[in-house]
Formats: sequence, C-alpha cells, structure tokens
Amino acid sequence: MTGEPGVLRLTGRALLAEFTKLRSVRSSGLALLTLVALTMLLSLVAASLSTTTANDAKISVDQFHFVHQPLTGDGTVTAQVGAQRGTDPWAKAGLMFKDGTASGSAYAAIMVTPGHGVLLQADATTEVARPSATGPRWLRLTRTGQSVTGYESADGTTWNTVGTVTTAARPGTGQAGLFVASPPKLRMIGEIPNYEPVLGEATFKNVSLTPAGGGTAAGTWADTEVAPPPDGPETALGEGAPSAPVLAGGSTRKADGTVTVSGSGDIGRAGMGGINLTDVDRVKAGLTGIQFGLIGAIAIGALFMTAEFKTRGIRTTFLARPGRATVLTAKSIVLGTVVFVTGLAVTVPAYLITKPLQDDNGYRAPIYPESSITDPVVLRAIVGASLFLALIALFSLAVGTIVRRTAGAVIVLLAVLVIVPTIAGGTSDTAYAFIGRATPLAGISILQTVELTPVSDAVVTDAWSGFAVLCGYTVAALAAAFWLLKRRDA
Amino acid sequence: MPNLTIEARELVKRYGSTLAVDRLSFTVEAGRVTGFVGPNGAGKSTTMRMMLALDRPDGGEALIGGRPYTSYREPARTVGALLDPEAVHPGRRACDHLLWMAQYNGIPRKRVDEVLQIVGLESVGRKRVGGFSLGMRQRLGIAGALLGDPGILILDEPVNGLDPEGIQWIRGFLKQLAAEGRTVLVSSHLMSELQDTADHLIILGRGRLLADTTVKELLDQTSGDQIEVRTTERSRTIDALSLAGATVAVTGPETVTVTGLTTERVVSLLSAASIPFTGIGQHRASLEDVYMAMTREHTTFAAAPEDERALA
Repeated sequence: MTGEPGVLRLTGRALLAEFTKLRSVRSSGLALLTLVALTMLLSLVAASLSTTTANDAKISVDQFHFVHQPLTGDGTVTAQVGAQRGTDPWAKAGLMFKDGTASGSAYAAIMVTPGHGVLLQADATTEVARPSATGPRWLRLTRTGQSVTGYESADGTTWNTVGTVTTAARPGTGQAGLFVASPPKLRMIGEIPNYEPVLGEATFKNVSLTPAGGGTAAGTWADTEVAPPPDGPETALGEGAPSAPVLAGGSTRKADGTVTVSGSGDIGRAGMGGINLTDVDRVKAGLTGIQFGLIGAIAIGALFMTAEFKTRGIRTTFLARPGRATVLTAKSIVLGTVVFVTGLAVTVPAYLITKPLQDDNGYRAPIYPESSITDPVVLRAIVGASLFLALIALFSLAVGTIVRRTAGAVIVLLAVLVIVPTIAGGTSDTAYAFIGRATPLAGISILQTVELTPVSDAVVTDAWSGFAVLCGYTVAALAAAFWLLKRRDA
Repeated sequence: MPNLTIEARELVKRYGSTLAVDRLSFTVEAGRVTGFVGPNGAGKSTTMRMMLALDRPDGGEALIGGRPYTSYREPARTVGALLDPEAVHPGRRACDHLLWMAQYNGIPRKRVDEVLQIVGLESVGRKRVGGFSLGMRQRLGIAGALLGDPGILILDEPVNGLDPEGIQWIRGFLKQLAAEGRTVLVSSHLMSELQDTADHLIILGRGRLLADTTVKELLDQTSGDQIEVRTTERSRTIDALSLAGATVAVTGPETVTVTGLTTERVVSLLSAASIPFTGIGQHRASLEDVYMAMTREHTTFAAAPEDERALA
C-alpha cells in the first residue's frame, strides 16, 4: 500500500466534501436567504423610521479664562506654550482673537492640547487639526481682516502654517490674547450624570502682540472669565451638552514675562475640539438588521450538524472519514467561510444604502460624524458584522453537535440569541446591559465606530472586548462539541 | 497480497444492563461470501457498527485488514460498508450524496457515475433521495460502498426492500465480488436470503457466537437419516411407527418426519396396518430448519410482521 495523504490534503478533501454537503441541500440556501433578507430589511426599516433633530440645535460651547487686551485693526499674537497641565486630553491653551468678551461671540483661535496636538478654530464652525504637533509649542495667530492664519513651531524659529480660517469677528475692534480651558469630568451619581468642572493650567512665555503697522500694542492685559450667563440663551452649554458650573480661573505674571493662566470650560461644538454629543452610532445603527439576520446563521449552523443526526447521515460521514475531529474542523471552516462571505454580501450594501437614509433623517455631521467605507473603523464594523454572523453560525454548529436534535438546538439558540434579548431590550435596561456584556450577543460590540457620550446607555463594552466574549463562547462550545463527538457512539 | 480479513476479538457491547454482544470472536476470510445471521436483536448490527468504529466496544477489538477502522484516514479504498440505507439526507441528490463521500476519500468525480451505473441508478442520479423507495436507497447505499473499489465489503441486510429482480441481482453481484477475491460479509435475519449466496456462515444468538462454519458442514451435521411420510391419517401413522421404536415428528398437516427406521421398514409397517400414504422419501433438512432449531432458544424478539414482508 502506498503512503496515505498528509494532514493538509486530508483536510482539503474534507473541506471539499463538507462544502458539497452544504450546497447540495435546499435548507442551506433558505437559511442564507433568511440571513440576507432579515439583515437588509430590518436595517432599512430602522434607518427609514429613525429620525433626529439633534443637529438643528447648533450646540456650541464657549467658556474659558481669557487674558486679553484690545486690538484695533489687523495684527499678530505670538506665544510659547511652555507647560500645560494634563487635566484632560482635550484641555486647551492658546491664542485668540475675539469679538468682545461675551460667551458666544465670534472668534478665531489656535490652541494646543495634551492629547490631540494643535487645533485652529473659528466661530465654532471651522476646525483645522494638526494632531501630530504635540508637546510644548510656539503658536502664532495673524489677522488680516476677517481672515486668520495660524502657525505652530517647536522652537520659535521654524514655523509651520496650520491653516487659514475666516471668522465673523468684525475687523477694527475686538480683543486679542491668551486663553486656557479644560472640559468638565463626568461622574455618575447613581444613574444621574453629573459634570464636575476642571481647572486647567498652562504657562505662556515670550508673549507678544504686534499690531499690523508694527510696534507694540499699547493696552494693558485684562482677565475675563468668558462664560454663558447661568440661565441665559443656549449659546454655550446647551441642550444635551455637558453642563458644568464655572470654576473661576486667573492669571499671574512674573517679572521675566512668563504668564501662568488657569481656566475651566471648553470651546467648539459637537464634533469639534473633542466635544462629543453622539448618542447613536450611525454605522452600527445602519447594520442593526444583523440582530435578526442572525436567525439565518443559527439555522444554517445548527442544521449543518443536526440534520446529520436526524437522518443518521452522521454514520455515513464517519464511515467515509473515521477521523471525527477532521470532520468537525472541516464543517467549521466551510460553515464559517460561507456565512462570512454571505454576511459581507449583505453588510456592505446595507451600509451603503442606509447611509443616505440616515443623512436625510438628521443623523449627519457634526453630531453624528461623517463615515466612509474606507475608514478602518467603519471597515472593521462592516467586516466585523459578517464575522459576528459567522461566529454565531459556528456557535450554533457546536450547540447542534452537543444537543443533536434540530428542535432542541434551534429553540435554545433562538431563546438565548433572539427572544430573550428582544424582550429584555424592551423591558429591563439592567438585563439588556447584562446580555450585551456577558452573552454571545456581546459580539455585536465589534460594530461600534464612534465613542458615544458617556451618558448614552447604548455603550456596553468597547469594540473588541465584547467580541472577545463571543469568541470565548464559540471556542468553549466547539471544544465541548469536539469532545462529545469523539466520545459518543454515532 | 493485502490482508483482507475482518476479525472480531472478544467484542463486548452493553446497553445499560443489556449485553448486546457477548465476547464475540470470529474471522471473516477473503474470496467467499460470509453470511452473518441471527434473529433480530442478536447483535449483528451492533457488531458491524463496532467493526466500523461507529460504536465504541465495551471490551475487545475489531480489526479490518489487520487494523482498527479508525486507523484508516481514507477507508473507502479498503472497506466499503452499507449499514443503513435510510442514513441519507432526503433533500440531497443521489449524485451529490455519492460525490461528498467520494471527495472525503479523494476519489475522482467520474467514479460516482460509474457506481450509479453498476447499481442501476444512473437514470435517477440527479433526483433527490427523498423520493427514493427503500430498494432504491439500498442500491444507493451499495453504490456508496463500491465507490473506492474496496477489497472488503460489509453490508447490513442489503436485501431488505429490494424487489425480486433486485434480490436476484444482488445475490449474483455478491458472488461475483467474492469470486474476484474480495471479502464479503452480508448480514441477514433470514437464512433463506443467504441460502444460495453464502459460502460460509457466522450465526449469532443473543450476542453470542452459535456457529462459525461452512454451509455444507452445517447441513451435513444436522440432517440425520430422516424419512418424510405424507399421509391423510397422521395420528394412526404416528401410533404405528412409534410402536416400532421410531421417533416421529409432525412437520405439516399431512406430513410427519421419522427417525430411527429404514424406508423399507416404514413401508412394510404402514402397509401391514393398512394406513394409506401418498408419499415417502428421504428428508433433507433445509438451512432454514437448522437455523430455526439453533436459534429458537436464542430469539430475543418474536417474529415481527416485517419478517414476512422481507420474505415475500
């Protein structure tokens, strides 16, 4: 007798055989059709019916400590931000032209943050980011009419242009100077979100204010706490925005010209400067249909094994290949691949079709950030949704192997993965949160593309840790399936 | 010359408190059809499942070609087996059913059409198995066993459900396979099915080996010199012959079987007593009689209606 084929060829043959099995029965096609149809249909329904007016509120934040003096006409302000306390990755210290000192008035500003580099902003509508420019920075802001150009430098000698922005601030009058802010911290008191103000601090050196004609500005520096009136119009910390009391800042000036400024608050608006009001993940919402599309994954996964036990075809299989582990391995690979590819065939179109629907229904930038299929995080969500379906199919295959009966396996799987979560979702937040953390459904976390506001109850786990829970369940169930399949009589 | 034997060594299988197979040992040789017989529940199917590693023995071992079945990575080229003709997915086409079996063993696709032709299913190869009769499923199962052109064939009740023409065909086919030097093990709960086919018999009763012998030996050892008498006056015949020292057994409404007297002596005794008889002659026990006598005390289940259907 000649030598027997190696492991790779044996597995290859098993893959081919199991693929023939899967494609040659109608139930596989029906299950995949269910997966595609339910995923697409429910994603479309959700995207069509869900609307929001969050963007219409034009929420902006304009609260900080301002050290300023009047500037008539055009001019340039320059300073070296020597040290900034790391109170928050989005704490801000920088230079500003502002149309007065009232919160909500027009402005142009360049600033440095501890965690996200340099930002150039105008009027809470425009932002140019330079995330790579980290660490102590020289900043410069030059005004020519309503056009403002920002520069940054590491040493005060070589300057890089960050960009040019247009502000509504009137030329001719206004204030110029230094500002510091640090966003409030969220602390949950029970279920109630509570924002506690944080005092940021930065030290400025080599401060200069040069009017366009040359020379030095003649004014004196003044301190102002720029903050919205306690119950004023919603120009600043408005509807749904993190609202915190003002924490008085101040400034101290040393003989060598060093100015230390402290202040609380933030500037920008949702989607700018790290201000996040997102309560819905657009990409995840656009693929929400997989929560019911997984019924198809359950069906094909469970039946791929239970049909063999029901017809006793499992004996024919083990006659053809006594290596039972190879059989289950081949089934897993074939099933996982088929469901994953079918998943992609529905998740990619579902994303592309629901996106314009969401735009029409108010889910758009700035509160709901623009997304693109080429964005790695979006791609992770789309591919992840298909992986999720594939893993649910594998989990179902394992449960089918353990339970052996179609009815038993499908009932258990539908109860755990569909029925109980649907009921819990409509009745108990605690139960729903548990399901999202500790059951195989936690894997849906892989669809998350944005960080939601901390108060949003939609956040359950971060993208990978929930997915890891599903992987854990699948591996454990498959391990039990392998063990039982090898042990039990066929 | 490859080893083509099937060997059972002290096989034991328990289901709860029931001992289904009890320290069973035998060897099946190549080049002949071996019948594996016993009443329903005698342990034939269980033994075959243990040979093919579907069931795990509680003791002993089974070797096929000198190796356990589990040691074959791609067994179809060595062993072909048909255990359960119903063990097919009804929604699958016959050709796809055979295709995946072939693919598991690296057998080329064209062999599927060949075996369909051999068993006479070429016209329904593309039909779904759900619409097949039992007989067609048997043929499909045999086709599956033949895929790898194996030297050893193990078939559990392959005659079940076949029409008379199919029975004729499979008998001839099994003999032909054995004549080609293959090992053929065929089980049945009916001796009559194997009478003209099997060269060798392994007889089971309640999980134990009752006989491991050739058909000829079995017949010779059990049928003594018996004389069969046909008469309308059965009771008078019994009286007359018993008086003369014979053992008389009733074998039919008008027949008795006589042991211990010569034919001449019976004729003269009956003539002397003026008992009319329509026939007298040497009685040869059928294989069925021998089998019935041997297994009567070992029958687990009473004859089920299925048996009669299979007989027809």
